[in-house]
Amino acid sequence: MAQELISPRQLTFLVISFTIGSWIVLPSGIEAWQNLWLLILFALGQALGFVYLSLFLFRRYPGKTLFAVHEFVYGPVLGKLISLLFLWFFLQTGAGALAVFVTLLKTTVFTDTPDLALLLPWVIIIVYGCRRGLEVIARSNEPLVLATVGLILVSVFLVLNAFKAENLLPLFNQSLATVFWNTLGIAVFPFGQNVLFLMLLPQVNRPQKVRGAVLRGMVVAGGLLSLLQFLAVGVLGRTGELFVFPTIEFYRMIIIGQVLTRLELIPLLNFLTMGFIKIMLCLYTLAVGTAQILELRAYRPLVLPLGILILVFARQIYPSISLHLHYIEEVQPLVSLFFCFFLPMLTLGVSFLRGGAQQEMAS
Amino acid sequence: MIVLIVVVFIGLFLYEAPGLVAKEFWRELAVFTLLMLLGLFLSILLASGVELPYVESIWVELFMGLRKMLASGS
Amino acid sequence: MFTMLWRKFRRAQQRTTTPGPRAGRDLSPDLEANLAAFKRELGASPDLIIRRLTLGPKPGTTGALLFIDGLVDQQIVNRDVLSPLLHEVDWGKGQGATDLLDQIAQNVLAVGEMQRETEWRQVVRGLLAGDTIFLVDGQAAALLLSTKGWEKRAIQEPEAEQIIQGPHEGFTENLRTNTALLRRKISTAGLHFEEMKLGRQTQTTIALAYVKGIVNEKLVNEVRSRLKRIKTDFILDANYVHEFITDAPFSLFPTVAFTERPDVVAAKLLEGRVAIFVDGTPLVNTVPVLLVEYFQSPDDYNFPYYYATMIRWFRYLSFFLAVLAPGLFVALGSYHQELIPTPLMITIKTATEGTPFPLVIEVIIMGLVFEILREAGVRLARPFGQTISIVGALVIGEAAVTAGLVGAPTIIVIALTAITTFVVPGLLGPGIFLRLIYTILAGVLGAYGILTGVLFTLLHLASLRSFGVPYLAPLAPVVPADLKDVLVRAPIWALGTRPRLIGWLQPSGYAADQEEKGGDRDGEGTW
Repeated sequence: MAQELISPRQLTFLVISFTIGSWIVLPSGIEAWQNLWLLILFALGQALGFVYLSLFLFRRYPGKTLFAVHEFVYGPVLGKLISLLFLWFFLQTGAGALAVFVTLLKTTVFTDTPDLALLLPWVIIIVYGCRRGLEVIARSNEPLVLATVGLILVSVFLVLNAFKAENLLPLFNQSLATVFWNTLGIAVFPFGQNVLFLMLLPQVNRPQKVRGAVLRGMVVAGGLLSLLQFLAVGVLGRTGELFVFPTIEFYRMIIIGQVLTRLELIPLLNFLTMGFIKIMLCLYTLAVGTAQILELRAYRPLVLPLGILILVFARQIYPSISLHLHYIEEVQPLVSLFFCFFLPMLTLGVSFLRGGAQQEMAS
Repeated sequence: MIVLIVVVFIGLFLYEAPGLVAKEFWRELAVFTLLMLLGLFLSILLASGVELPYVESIWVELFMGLRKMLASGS
Repeated sequence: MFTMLWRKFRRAQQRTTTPGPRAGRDLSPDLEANLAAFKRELGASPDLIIRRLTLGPKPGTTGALLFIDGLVDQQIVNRDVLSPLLHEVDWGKGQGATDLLDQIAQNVLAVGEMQRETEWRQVVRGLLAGDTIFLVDGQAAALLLSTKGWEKRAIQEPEAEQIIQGPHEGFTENLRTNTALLRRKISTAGLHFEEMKLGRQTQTTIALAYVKGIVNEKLVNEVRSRLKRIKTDFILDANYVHEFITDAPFSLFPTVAFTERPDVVAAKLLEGRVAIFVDGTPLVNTVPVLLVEYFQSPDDYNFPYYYATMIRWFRYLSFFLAVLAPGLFVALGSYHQELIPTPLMITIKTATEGTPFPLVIEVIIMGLVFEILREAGVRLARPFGQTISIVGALVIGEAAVTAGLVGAPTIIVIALTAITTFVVPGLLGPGIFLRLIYTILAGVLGAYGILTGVLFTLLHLASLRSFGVPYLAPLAPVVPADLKDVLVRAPIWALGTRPRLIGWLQPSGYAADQEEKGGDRDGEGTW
């Protein structure tokens, strides 16, 4: 299959939208609500460390996707098995994002619309985009990221009226264990999910700039999320943690001159566009990964059936949003930690032990 | 409903398959067909109202069990 | 799948281009036989003029002049061809000439451009293109004298692209006039033209224009090879060429731009683009084209930069309104009424109270009525057009509302879109089409439907390329340096660099301080 190339800047933009993705409406670590915006910054630092380490894999095996590295390090059989695990992870991430998206729409604007009517058009355009390839995804992502960043920055001015600094207090009122657990939770979701990009890095046209591009994207995304959280706490105060979608709720509080009301459309739009890119990336990686494991020549024919699978899975991710919140709080950090940190580190360690990469780099 | 699903799947299959046959991508065709059948199977199950387990429920139960074991073990 | 269809299409076209029955035949030495052949080939067309004459040092040698009445300048033929041949011949001169035809060509005829031709096909082609053919008995060759001259339209301001300030001249139907207009704008030896004939029956002259040193040679090659692939019987207008060479034949969006203005073509050539002139039409194609170009007007560069920037944003806004306003109106009115501020909601509700149709149907029908009215008015003589617009305004504007068939807000929305559509004339087609689609989507799924449609359009636009350059550049991929002429219209002195994906061979606008910057490109626009 023809190699499609993206530029480091496009990679940065993809990282931004992938990270912001579903988190923009559904923050993890809600337990630490009051301090969340600070925790995001801590988690960002931690995640930067994780990703920095994971990127050593790419340094060691330049031009190889994560799955190719697996086969190289563990041998074909075990490598493929581990890659399969990752496929499951991508599938669940994509389907999860899609499920949250439907839940959100159903609880805010489209209360009477059947699930399928919301899912189907979305899956159709996602399949269309994936069939067009990574280049097209990256290019269409650019204006969307610019719009999202713009809207988030504009909202700073919009909330000035409703923002109360005393809502921010008390800070630092959590136990160390909570802080630690939640920081970890945020570090692996949303930031840790960027492990997905290890599959796409060989398609960046200037490999030496990859590391900077990914880290820059994460920093921008982290900053934006922290900013949003800061605003949300300032507007909602302690009540914020009661809501399922606090980021949307705080926009509801904005009323400027009778006319600028119902601004929850802003985060809704941000989420829909960013989630769109995120789900599309998941599907793309899924298809490319499957094609790689099975040694196919083209990923394109797989997009359609995998899109259907994501659609089906999205309906079977969780029975209710409360279970999803429970999952995010209790289980997700561990699952994500396994995929986003433990497995890449294990691969790196094994590869160092086997020392097989040296010839690779010399050649 | 099920008839509709089957018709849609056949339509999609007919849309994609001829191109693969023309290019002699047999392996791709096989994987494509398998995945389509999986999708068809799951969609029919969903449509006919069979109670499928939820992905995250499984995870949660698994981990809660693990935690309890750890808690009782320590 | 499309490529398969395309290939079939191509193959079908190739089958029609069997060589002409007379290809390769040469002229006969016998004058009468030649003349008879001309008569047979062209039929009894009265505009074929044959003037026989006697000439030469030996008395009794006959010759003939042939031309098509109306395609030649009679004055030139009489003064510079016929009169010298009949009167002032000094047959002693010109000893170097090999034969009589050569002698006449060297000594007698006062025509600047002439050509000796022996092949039948070429001679007929020249005759039909406006040359005068000179034949002498006993020689199997002809002289093609360039005496072209026909009635042409004067240079006027193009009606579809009028501007307030700046040059008011536009291209005409005559290719030579057009190339001359362009030469007058760009006085560098780097401006090159390449001509070719396309269309088996029409033999239309197509001219490629580019500025050597600025243009990417690969682009020129690509355009040339795409033009050469055209197999058709007739090329009558620029769009005939466009639909053959476009990157995405089935896309709503055009990947070739048209203009009738020499200043626009000059600016685009100097940015590194290629222009395609088609004889017989004032429209000139330029490639590659970016979506943002449709939002630019020559007026932008003649007004102060702040005003031009503002106007440009009005254009963006207008296009979005033109495409999205009816859809948003339908979505808000029939699905998301809670999103409209209450006082406004009450006003709208009272205005639409008691109308019989659902909002979607109302908007679609009124939009349709407007489009039909426009179509009816466009091609009629002006007095009729005015009648139609008055009737239309009264019917849709007043009667429908007072009769309670349509709500007044619907009329306002339709009127708004009607006006805004014309702000970006280059995207009229896609605009109207997308508007209809978004309205239907809004009727089915509300704002979510519109969002789906918009994202789909975005994906489609991002996947388009015009001659290798991403269609959405410099917005996607973002090229920060080029946003100076997209988000704003920076002052002219700050517009120094050419668009990076098109003019990257020589990025600086001022040729003297040309720098090596080739290595710093993103992977876009690669060939």
